[in-house]
Amino acid sequence: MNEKDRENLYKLFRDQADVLGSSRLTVVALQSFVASVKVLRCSREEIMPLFKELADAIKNSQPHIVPLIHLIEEFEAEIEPFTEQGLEAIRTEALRILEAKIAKIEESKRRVVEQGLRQVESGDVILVHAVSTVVLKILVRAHEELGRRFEVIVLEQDFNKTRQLLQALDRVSIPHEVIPEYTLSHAIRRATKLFLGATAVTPDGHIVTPAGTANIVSLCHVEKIPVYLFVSTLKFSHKPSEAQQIHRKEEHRSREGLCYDLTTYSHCLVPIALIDHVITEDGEAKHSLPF
Amino acid sequence: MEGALLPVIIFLVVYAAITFELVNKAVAALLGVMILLIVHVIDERTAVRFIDFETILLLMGMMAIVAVLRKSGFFTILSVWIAEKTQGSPLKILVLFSIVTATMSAFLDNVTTVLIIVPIVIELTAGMGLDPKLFVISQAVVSNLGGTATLIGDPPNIIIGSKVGLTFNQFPLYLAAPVILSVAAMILYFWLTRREQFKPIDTNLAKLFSVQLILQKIRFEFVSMHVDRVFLAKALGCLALAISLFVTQTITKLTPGVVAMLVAMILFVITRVDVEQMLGEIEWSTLLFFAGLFILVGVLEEKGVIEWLARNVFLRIGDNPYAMVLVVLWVSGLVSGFLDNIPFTITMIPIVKVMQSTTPIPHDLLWWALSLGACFGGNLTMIGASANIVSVGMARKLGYEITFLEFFRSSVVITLITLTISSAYLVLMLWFFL
Repeated sequence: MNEKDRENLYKLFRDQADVLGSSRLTVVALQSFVASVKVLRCSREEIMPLFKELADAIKNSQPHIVPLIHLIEEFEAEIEPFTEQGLEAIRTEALRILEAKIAKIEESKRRVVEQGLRQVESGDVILVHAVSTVVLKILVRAHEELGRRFEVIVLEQDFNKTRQLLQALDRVSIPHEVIPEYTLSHAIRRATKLFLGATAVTPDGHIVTPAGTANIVSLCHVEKIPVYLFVSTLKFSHKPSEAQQIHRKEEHRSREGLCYDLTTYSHCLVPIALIDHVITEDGEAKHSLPF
Repeated sequence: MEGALLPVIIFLVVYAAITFELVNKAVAALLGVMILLIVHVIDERTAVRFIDFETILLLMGMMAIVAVLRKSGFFTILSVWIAEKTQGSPLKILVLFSIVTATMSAFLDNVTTVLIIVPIVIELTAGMGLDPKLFVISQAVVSNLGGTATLIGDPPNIIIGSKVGLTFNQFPLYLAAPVILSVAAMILYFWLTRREQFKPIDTNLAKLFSVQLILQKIRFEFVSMHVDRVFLAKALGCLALAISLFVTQTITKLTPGVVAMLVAMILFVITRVDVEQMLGEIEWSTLLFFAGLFILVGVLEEKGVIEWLARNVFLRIGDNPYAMVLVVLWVSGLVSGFLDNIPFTITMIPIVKVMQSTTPIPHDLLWWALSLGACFGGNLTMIGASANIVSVGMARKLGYEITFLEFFRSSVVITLITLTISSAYLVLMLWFFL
């Protein structure tokens, strides 16, 4: 895989993560892996190096999609014993393992949602920033299945990132108000909770979240609005925050006679100390975190 | 040609202003008309008489229909379906998208077609690590080829159909064959000259994975899109009604302009769209540009300039029908590559009329030569057709710069091939009918 192909793949990951969230992206990536293995034409000798090439590319993504990386590492370990078998046997095993990984992340998400449902109470005014399929499912199920009556304040980013959230809230008629994320200071006193998802939780005490989250979390912390993070333990990374390969982009801008170099980052790093409640598959995890 | 000097000067200045984009095209044409009115070369009544309202009505009606169709989500559904069908095969992307673009361009305007097709083609090919430029150029070229097949596909055909009184059915009857052959030749040319771009990717797991991710993304965007099925059914029903009325034009005696406007108004009523918003999507500046040009050329015609041009330039080649047809085809093709083909066609119509009256050529072959030349010639350069400019602009916006020379290197060969196919076809038709 050449550098250009890698860049294209990582850009696709970033674009998808922006609109789907990292958990859903992990499922989509595994489904894409399955569809690709089904139509792949190669010899028995070629198939394992091809798996390795793709696995290496995924493991080096910018930023790291941690749950996907964990599952791909598991896939590599589990396919290894079948290396000496025939092409079709390897293909069949690869598909079986990948399907099992999809089931694993889906189950993990389901359990986080179950835990998350306990955090929603009637009368809440919940702040939601970036797309997280787990947060979205918690809100929808709390409203539809548990009959909780709460309000959502959506902190708008660009339309593509916010669209999925608004469509879901509209579909189940959850009362909501949309405000630009940079005007949160005007609405924060009405809020009772902030709900977040994350791409990764690092061992040095940070969470990797969509760009813009750090400011919102900081303001909530100052205003004593409880911050809830909903993450699967599959998102716990072995690597520190500086090794998460957050994408840094520099571009030259020229506008109204002004020329400048603009540097942007794909994601934020938020100190976990600012998070009041970390909810995993097993419930509140803050005090059992490894840092 | 008494009193022709001023209209000729004004016409040439307007033409230069349009070609070098010195001012807005509509402003250039209407300013020329205003000067002619101020210096009393013509009066208001004569000016209005020169405007071909059939053409204006047809363009306006089709623009309104396309605006409603675009809102229905039909084009997105179509492009997602095609993307699924390609499954990441570069050759399938070229062939399937070329067929869809050619077909859509035959019934809708070319710019709308490339606006829908080009972003999805760039997304698919760039995600696969291919060079999207080749695919962008191919779709711009094929939209100009496809638009040639019908009366409503390309502005030169709309003008020829309306001014000459050719029916909707005559266009595909006479032009479908060279158009289909030209599209096939274009695909073959790209495939033969860029073989490395069309290697199958099913031996490359990483590329297959990227394509599947892109398809998932496209599917997700499609699922997120709100499609009103009733609205969509009404829009497609009306498009079908318009096409059937175009086809049965000889029976109903309804002109294409009346049909397009009638269907547009029916669509506005039954879909309950925001009419102001839909009217805002009509390209009023293009319609004004047409009106202005009709007047400018009308004045030249009245002053005898057109007849002089026909007799002293085009009829110099003699009365050999083969030579006449080929001259009209190649002159139209080469000129349309560098100048806007709309004013060129409007200028050429009275010239071809003189040629046709001097040496009658059967089966309107001179008109088909003009249509093939003006439409296919637009492919010669990046500035030859609106679809080319829009496609290149979209590619630039998405990070792929296509230079004038890059476009020209591919398009010049394709234009020569397609004009040669057209020449062979017209010669064959002449040989058969004479």
